[in-house]
Amino acid sequence: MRFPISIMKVREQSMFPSLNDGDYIIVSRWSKCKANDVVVAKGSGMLLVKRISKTEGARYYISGDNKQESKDFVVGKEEIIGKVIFKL
Amino acid sequence: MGITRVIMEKADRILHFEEAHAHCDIPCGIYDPHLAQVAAHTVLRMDMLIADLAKSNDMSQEGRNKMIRYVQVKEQHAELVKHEVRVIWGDYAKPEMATQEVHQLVFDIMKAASKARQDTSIDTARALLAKVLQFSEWFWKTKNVEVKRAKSFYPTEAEIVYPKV
Repeated sequence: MRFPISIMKVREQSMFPSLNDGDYIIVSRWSKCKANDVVVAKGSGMLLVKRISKTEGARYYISGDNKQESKDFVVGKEEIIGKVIFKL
Repeated sequence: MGITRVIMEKADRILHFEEAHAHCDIPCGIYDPHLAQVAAHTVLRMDMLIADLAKSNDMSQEGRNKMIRYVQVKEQHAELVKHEVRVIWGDYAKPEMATQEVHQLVFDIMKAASKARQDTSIDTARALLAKVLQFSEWFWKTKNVEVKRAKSFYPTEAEIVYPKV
């Protein structure tokens, strides 16, 4: 059984300045995700924390806030784990 | 360090929270299709030299050595075309740039480069170069940079795409 809320640890810097390496975040699996939300999604064989830049149907374009270090991804709706609702 | 962070780190040691990666891939921002064009010109040039050598029927040790060298360079540069295009496509191109037309163009370049390795036809090499020039024009267009197509100064005497600077 998966809890509706998870605590996760942020790794790497592509979400700087919103999130830093080592930050802890609370992720809600029940929240609806829309453009500009920060989400955790499955991609490249790992969990990614990124901001949704836009959506096209079930396709989510996600990218980091730190444009110098960010790589963009496109993920399906089913790959979105949840929305980041709080930074600890 | 705040008290919340200290508590979270202690909790992490016990509970081992999952990690979410703000993944970075060191995109250095330095991309240019010029190397792909030069490599495509090299493939064309090698096919020209191979054709000249074949016409001469030079089966001497020296002649055979030249032929092997031409083929080797052709192989390497056809692969270099694929590498350079793949890096721009994989690391530079944003999802919104990836239209069906450009997907097809990249696919065609991969196939044309493979064909250029398989045979020694000058037409095949010219077809590869033409696709790479189109790709170069697309690349500079994504950066809002005007380009100029001009005859190169290489022995191939084929065209090359330059950004207007």
